[in-house]
Amino acid sequence: MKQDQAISRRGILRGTGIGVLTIAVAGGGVTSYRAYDNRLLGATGGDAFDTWRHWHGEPGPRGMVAAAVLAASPHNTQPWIFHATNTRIDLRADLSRRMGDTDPYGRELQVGLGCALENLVLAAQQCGVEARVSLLPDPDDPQLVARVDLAAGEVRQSALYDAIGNRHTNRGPYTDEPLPDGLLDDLTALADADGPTPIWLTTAEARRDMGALMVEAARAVTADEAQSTDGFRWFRADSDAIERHRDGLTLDGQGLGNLMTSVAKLLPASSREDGDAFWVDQTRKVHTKTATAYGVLTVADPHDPAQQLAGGRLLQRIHLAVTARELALQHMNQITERIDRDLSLGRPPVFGPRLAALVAQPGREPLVAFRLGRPVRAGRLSPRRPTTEVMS
Amino acid sequence: MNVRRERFATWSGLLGGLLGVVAGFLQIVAGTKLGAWSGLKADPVPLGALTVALSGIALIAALPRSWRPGSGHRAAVVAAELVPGLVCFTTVGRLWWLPGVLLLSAAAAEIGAAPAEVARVTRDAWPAILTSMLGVCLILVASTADQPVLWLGVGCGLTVAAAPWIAGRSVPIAVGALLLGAVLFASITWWTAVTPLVGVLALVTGGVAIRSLRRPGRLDC
Repeated sequence: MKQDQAISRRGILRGTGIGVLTIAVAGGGVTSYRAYDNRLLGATGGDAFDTWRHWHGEPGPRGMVAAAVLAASPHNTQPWIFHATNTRIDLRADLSRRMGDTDPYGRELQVGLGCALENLVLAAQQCGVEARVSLLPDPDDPQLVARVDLAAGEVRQSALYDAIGNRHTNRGPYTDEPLPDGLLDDLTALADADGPTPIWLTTAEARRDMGALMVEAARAVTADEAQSTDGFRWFRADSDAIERHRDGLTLDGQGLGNLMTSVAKLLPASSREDGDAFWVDQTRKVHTKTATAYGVLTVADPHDPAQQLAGGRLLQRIHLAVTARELALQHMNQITERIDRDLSLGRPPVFGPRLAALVAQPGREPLVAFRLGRPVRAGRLSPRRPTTEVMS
Repeated sequence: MNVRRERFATWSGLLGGLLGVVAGFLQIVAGTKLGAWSGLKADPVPLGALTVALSGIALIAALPRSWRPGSGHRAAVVAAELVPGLVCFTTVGRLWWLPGVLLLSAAAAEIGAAPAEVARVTRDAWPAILTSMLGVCLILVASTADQPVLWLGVGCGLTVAAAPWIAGRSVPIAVGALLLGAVLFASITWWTAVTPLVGVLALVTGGVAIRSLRRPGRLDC
C-alpha cells in the first residue's frame, strides 16, 4: 500500500514536471516564432534595406536616384518622386506622404526633399556629371521642387559622397567626449553664402536650456492628439510592416542597445500612448542628456519653400560630413513642429520666441534643429523604398 | 483496415513530400514573383531551402517499407511528416496548402494504424521530443541571421535536436552534444534573450531525456 502510494506520488510529481516543461517549451516556441517573425537576428537583411546594399552599383541617373533615396527625411517618410531621363532628373514632392498636423506647412517635407537633392547632386558629380539645379522651376507646379539638368563634367571625388551609405540618424546615447577641434568651423564652412546658416549651442548653459525646450516640446507634441496620431502613423512595429511599407521609424532605429531592442521586439507592439511616453523618456534621459552640441539651421524665412530646400541640402551636407568623421547626428524637430502647430491653430507662439532667444540671430529664424556627438553605438539602417518605386 | 491506413499514409506522405520539395524549389527560384501564393516572404531563398530540406525528410520517411515498422519507427515517421507539415505553413505561403494537408493526413493515418503504440512511444520519449522541438526553435531564430551566424545556429539547433536520441548509444556524446548545441549559439547571441532561454530549457529537457532514454530497450526502434 505504501509502495503504491509512493509510486503514485512519484508519478504525479513526474507528470507535473513534464507538464511544466511542456508549457515552458510551448512558451519558448512562441517566443522563438516571434523572434523569427520580427527578425531579432539579421534585422536589416530584408528587401526593405536592399538600397543600402546596392546603391553603389546602379548606373547613370538610376544610381543618382539610388543615392537620393538614402537621404534623411522626416519620420523616414521619403516624400519624393523622381522623373529621370539621361539629361534631366525632376524631383517632385509626394504629397500623399505629408505628416498632417505634425508638419502642417510642409516645412520638414521640403527639408527632406532638399536632403535628397543634395545626395543626388553628390552622386552626379561623383560619376563625372555636372548637375545644374533649378529650385521650384515652374511657379504653376509647386510639387516640382527641383529640376536637375545633367551634362558631361568632371569627376569630383567627395568624402561626403562616400559617407552616403553610412549616414543614419543616431538616436542612441552619445559619449561625453568633446567634439574634434575645428569640427564646427568646418561644418559652418559647408554653408553657401547668403543661404541657410548653422548656429551651434555648445556651452553647458545653452545645451541645458535647449534640452529643456526639447523635452517640453516633446511633451507638447504627445499631449496634442492630432500631432501624436499623425506621427505614430509612420511607426513600423514589426518586420511585416517594414517590408510592406519600406519607410517609417522602426524599433531598430531607436538607438537602444541590442538586448533592449530584442526585448522590445518580443513584446507586443506598443500603443501610441506607450510610444509617446517612451519618446519623451528617451528625449529626457538620452537625447538631451548626452548631446555634446546642438545645431540649429537658420534662414530669413523658414516658411519659404526655396529656403527650406536649401536648408535641407545644407543639413544633408552637415550630416554626411559628421558621418565621414565617425560622429553621430540626430534630427530633433519637436520644437519647430510645435512652432508650426501653434501658428496653424492661430495660437500665441509658445516655443518660437524661446528658441529665437536661444539662437540669438536677429533677422533670421530657426528652420530645423539637431544634436551632435560621439556615438556610444552605431546608428542602424532604416528601411527604404526601392528606386523602381520612386521613379516615374 | 490497418493495411489500408498504412497504404494511404504512404501515398499521401510520398505525394505531400514530393509536392513540398517542388514548392520549396518554386520559392527559391520564383518566390519574389509569385506574390501572395508564396507568402510574400522577405527571404524566399533560405525559406525555400528549409522547405526543400523538411519536405525531403518527410519524403524519405514516407517511402514504402518491406518490414512491419516498430513502434519507435512509426512514431519517427509521424514526427517526420507532422513537423514539416506544420512548420512549412509559415515558409512558402499558399504553395504549402496541398502538401501540408497531405503530410498532416499521412501523419494522422500513420497514428490511426497503431494509435496505442504511437501514444506509448510519444509518452516515453516526450522529454526527447521537447528537446528536439527546442532545437527546431534555435534553427527558426537563426533562419533570419546573416552568415555565418545562420549556419552556426542551424548546426547548434540540429545538435540539440539530435542529442537525446543518441543517448542510447553514448551518454557522454549525448551530453556533450547537448551542452555544445545549447550553450554555443546562446552565448554568441545572448542579447536576443530568446536563445539563452531556449538553451536553458534545452539543457533541462535534454537532461531529463538523456536520463530516461539512456536505459537500453526503452524504445522499440
